[in-house]
Amino acid sequence: MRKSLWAKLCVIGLLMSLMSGCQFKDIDKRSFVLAIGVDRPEDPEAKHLYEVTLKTGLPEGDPTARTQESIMITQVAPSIPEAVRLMKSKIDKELDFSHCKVVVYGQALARENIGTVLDWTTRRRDLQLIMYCAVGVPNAKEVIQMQPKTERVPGNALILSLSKDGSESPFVHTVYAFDLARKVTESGIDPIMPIVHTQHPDMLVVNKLALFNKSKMVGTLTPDETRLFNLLATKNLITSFRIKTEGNAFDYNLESSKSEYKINNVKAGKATVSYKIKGAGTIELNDEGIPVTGPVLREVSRAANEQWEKDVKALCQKLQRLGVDPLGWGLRYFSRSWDNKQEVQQWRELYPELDFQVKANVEMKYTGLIR
Amino acid sequence: MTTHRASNAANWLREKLTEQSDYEEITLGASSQIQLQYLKSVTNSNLVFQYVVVPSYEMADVEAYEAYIATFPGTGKADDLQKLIEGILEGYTLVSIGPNSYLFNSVKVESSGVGEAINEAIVQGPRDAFSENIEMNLNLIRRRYQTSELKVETMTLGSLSRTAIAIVYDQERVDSSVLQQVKDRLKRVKIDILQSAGELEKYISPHRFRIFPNMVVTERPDRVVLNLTEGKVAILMDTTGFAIIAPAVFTDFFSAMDDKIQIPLVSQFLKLIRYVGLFITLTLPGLYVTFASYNPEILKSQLVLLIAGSRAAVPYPSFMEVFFMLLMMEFLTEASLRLPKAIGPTATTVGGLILGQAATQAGLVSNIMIILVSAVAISNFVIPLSMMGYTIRVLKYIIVLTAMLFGVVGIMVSVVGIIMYLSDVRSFGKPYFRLTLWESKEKVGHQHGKS
Repeated sequence: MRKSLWAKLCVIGLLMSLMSGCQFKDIDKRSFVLAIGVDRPEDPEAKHLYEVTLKTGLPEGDPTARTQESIMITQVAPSIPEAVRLMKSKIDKELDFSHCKVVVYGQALARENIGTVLDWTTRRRDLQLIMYCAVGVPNAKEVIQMQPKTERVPGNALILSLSKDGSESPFVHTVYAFDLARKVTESGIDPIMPIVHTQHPDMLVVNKLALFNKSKMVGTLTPDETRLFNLLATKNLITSFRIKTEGNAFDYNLESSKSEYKINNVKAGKATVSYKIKGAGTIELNDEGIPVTGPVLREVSRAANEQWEKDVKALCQKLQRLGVDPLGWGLRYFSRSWDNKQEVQQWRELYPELDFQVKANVEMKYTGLIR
Repeated sequence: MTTHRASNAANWLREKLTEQSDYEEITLGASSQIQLQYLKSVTNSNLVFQYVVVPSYEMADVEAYEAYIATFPGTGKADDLQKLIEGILEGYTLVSIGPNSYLFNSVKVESSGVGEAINEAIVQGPRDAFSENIEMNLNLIRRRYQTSELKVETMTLGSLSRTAIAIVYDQERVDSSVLQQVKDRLKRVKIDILQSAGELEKYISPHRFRIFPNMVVTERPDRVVLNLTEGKVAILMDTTGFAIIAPAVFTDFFSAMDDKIQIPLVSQFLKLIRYVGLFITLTLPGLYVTFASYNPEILKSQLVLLIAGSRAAVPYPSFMEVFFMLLMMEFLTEASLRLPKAIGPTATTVGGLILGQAATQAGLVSNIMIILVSAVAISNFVIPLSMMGYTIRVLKYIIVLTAMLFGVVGIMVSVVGIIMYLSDVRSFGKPYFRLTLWESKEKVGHQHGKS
C-alpha cells in the first residue's frame, strides 16, 4: 500500500519534470512604473492623441550607493492602452504598474477632459486606486521628468508632497484616484486636484487647486484660497494665518480647527449655506513687538474672525461663480431632502442663488513663549 | 534432602552462568553452608562484602545470620527460577543458606548524577535535569511533588534491554481515559531494545502519518511536575535522561519554564515573541518567493527596487535561490550540531560569514536573501522544545513549495491547511491544537470539586 503510493508519486514527479510551464516572471525582470503623466502632444496636428510618459525606477544592487536614477519613456498614441503596448517594445523588462502611485494630468488635457484617462486608471487591474492624482503645469511630462535633489527613490518627491506623508503643507489637498473617479460621476459634488508646477532648475511646487466641473477643469484656486479651502474641507489644519489690526500685524499658528455648515432656509428658490468655523490659535509673530496681553489677544481674535468671515465668503462665492461644488453642498442637500425625483433639478435651480453666511470663532489662547 | 533443594537453585544458576566471565561464586562459613552467587559487572561488591560477607563471620549462629539476611531491606526469597535469573542479571546476589536461598539487593548503578539541563536551558530557576537512573529521576520528582496522590507504576519494556519504565501521575487529577490509553499502548509495545525516550514516544504514538510531536519529551523535572499538576501522565525511563509527558497540546511546545518565573507581562511578551518567531520562520522563505515572483505590489516601492536590484545579478529564479540558501542553512545547523565542541564555532564562522558574504558577491544569491535566511534560522531556535523546532524546519519547505506554485494564494492555502491538520490531531484522545490558558485551571478546580 505504502510502497505503491511512493511509486505513484515518483512516476508523477518524473512525468512532471517533462512538462513545460509558463515562465516565472521574477522581480528583476520587471520594470516598475512609479508615476504616469498624460498630456496632449504639443504638435497641433496631433492634438487628438495622447502623450504618455512613464517614470520607471532603475533597481540599484548596492543599497549603500543609492542613486536616484530613473528611466523616462514617452509615447504618443491614439489611446493610453495603445501607448503602453507600444512602450513595452521600448524597454527590455515587463512593465509593472503595481507600484505606480501618481498619475499626473497635463494642464491642456485637464482643461479638455480627464474622463478617458481616469477610466483607464480605475479599470486596469494592476493600477491601484490609491494613486495620487494631480494636474501638471506646464505639462505632465515636465512634472514627471523633474528630479528634485531631495529625491532618494525615483518619483518619491512627487509621492511625498502629494500624500502629505512627508511635508505637511496647508496648500496641498490629497486626492486619490478612487475619490476622483467617484466625484466625476457623483452628482452634487465636483472633483478637485492639486496643481503641481515645476520651478526650474529642480523644484516641484504644489500650492494650488484645480477646480473641475465634472471632467473638465474650469478654474484654479490661489494658494491663499487653497489654504482656506483646506480649512473648510479638513479638520485640524496645520497652518498659520497673518492678521493686520490696529497698525500692527500678527501671525498666529492654528492649534485646532473645525468647520461645519448647514443649508438653511430652503424655500421659494432661496437657500443659505451657513458655515461655522471654530479654531484655536497661538501667536507666532508680533511685528511691532508690543506686549501681548489679554485685551490684545481678544483684539487679534476679533480681527482673525473678521478676516476669515470675509475670505471664506469670497471663496464660496468664487466657487459659485465658477459653477462648481467641490465641497459637496449639493450632496448634503440631497441627503437632507426626501424628494428623490426632483431634488437634483431643485438644486440646479437653487445653486446660482445660494447665499453664504460665515460665522468664525477663532480664539487666541496663548501668547507664545517669552524667553 | 533440604540441602538438595537449596543446591538445586544454586546448581541451576551455576549451570546457566558458568560460562560468563563475570560470574562469581563464593562459599562462606566454616561448614560451607553459605554460598554467594552473582555477576560482578552489575553487582556492587562493596555492598556484598559489607552486609553479607562480614556479618557471616561476626555471627556464629547460622540461623541468626539467615534471619538477618531475610529481614534485610530489599531481600526476598528466591522461589521462582525465572525471577531468580532476572534478579541475578539485574545485579542481585543469590545467598544460599542451607536449604533456603535469598536474593540480596546489591544492584550497582553507574550514573552520571544529577546534571544541568542542556537542551532546555533556563535563565533563572532550577537547573536540575533528569539523569540516566530512573530511581534518581523518581527522587527528583518526588522531592518536588510531595503528596500521597502521586502514583508510580513500574513495568519493563524490551525483551533484551529489560528497560524499567515508570508511569507517574497524580491520582486525583489525572484523566483516567488518558492513563488507560497510556497503559494500553505501553503494553502493546513489542520490541527488543529500548534506549531512548524519543524511541518510546515513537512506539506509543498512533501509527499513521504525523508531523507534529504528539508528546512532550523533556529533560526537566520541573516541567514534568508542572504537567502532573495539570493532570497529565509522565513516563520515566531508565537509561535515559528524558521523560515523556502525555497528552501534549500544541502550546506546550512554546512554553519555557522561564514563563513561570517572569513577571506576567514579560512572560506574555516572551510567548508572543515565540509565536511571532514561529510565523516568521514558517512563512518568510515562502513570502520571499511570492514577493520576488508573484506579488511585488505588497511591498513598499523602495524595498521592491532594492530587492529587484540585489536580485539583478542572480541568474536563477527566486525559488532556486531560496532552496539553495535554506539547504546551506540546514547543512550549517546540522554540521554545528554534530561537530565536536572545539570545532563548532569554526564551522559557524566559515559557513555563516564567509559563505554568506561570498555567495552575494559571487551573485549566487541576493543580499536580502542572506538577511532572510539568518532571520529564519534564528527565529527557528526561539521555539523552546527542539522536537517542535524540527517539525517547523520541515514544514517551511511545504510553504515554499506552494508559494513557488501559487504565490500568496499558495501561502494562504498551506497555512490554512496546516491549521486544519492541527485541529484534526488528537493526542491521547485530547484535542491537540487548543488554548490552554483557562482550561487547565478549570479542570483542576473541577477535579477538586469532585473529590
